[in-house]
Amino acid sequence: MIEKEVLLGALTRCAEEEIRALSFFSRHDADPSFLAGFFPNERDRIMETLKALKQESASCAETYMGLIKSVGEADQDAF
Amino acid sequence: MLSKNDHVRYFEQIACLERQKVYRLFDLLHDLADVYVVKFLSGMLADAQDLYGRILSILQLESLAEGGADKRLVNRRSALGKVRLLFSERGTTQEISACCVNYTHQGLCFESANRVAVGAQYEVLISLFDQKETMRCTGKIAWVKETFPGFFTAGMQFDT
Repeated sequence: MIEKEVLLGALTRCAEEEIRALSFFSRHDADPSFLAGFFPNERDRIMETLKALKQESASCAETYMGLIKSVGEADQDAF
Repeated sequence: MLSKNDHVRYFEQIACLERQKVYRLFDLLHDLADVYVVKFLSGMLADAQDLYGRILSILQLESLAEGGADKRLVNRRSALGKVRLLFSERGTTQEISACCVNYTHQGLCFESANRVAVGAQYEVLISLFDQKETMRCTGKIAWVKETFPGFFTAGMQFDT
């Protein structure tokens, strides 16, 4: 079991980490030469993975915010 | 234009971020009992593990191979788990907590917020998430690099 305040703190840190990660994954979005040295099939794979990482981070940040709200509003003291 | 080493460093940093996410979720799930919260975090953990595998496969691409700090990565087993580095100081046993990146029977790669010194000798306890038994070895630090400011990745060579 985790105390409510401890869980809220952990979820908040997780949400912040997701936002930081999203910014890191997007670091080279505006650089057209970023993947210039890769083979075409490698470029596609990297682009797909970076896209998935960005989507996942955005989705997780949203999920964490939802959990912070629902945990914060819950009556229970431990989870 | 980024060099090959720049690309390797960037994807190694991405791997580190995703690995840390897996560790955060494992730690939270370890202590949680609430079914509602567990359901969401378990889903995120599964997605993070899948994406982590995809990042590792990018680091193995032909254009990136042999550019990283750990050129023997292909021979190493990517294994996540907790690592405890033990050492004696002024007659008492001290401990550094770390996370496993990968290992072989010859050595271990781990990451930690604590900087370790090259050449330092440790007893190491490795508790992998997919194994019940804790492994105990001794070895010395062969290399260290700062993956992010204040966060380090290190390689340990086990004593034979």
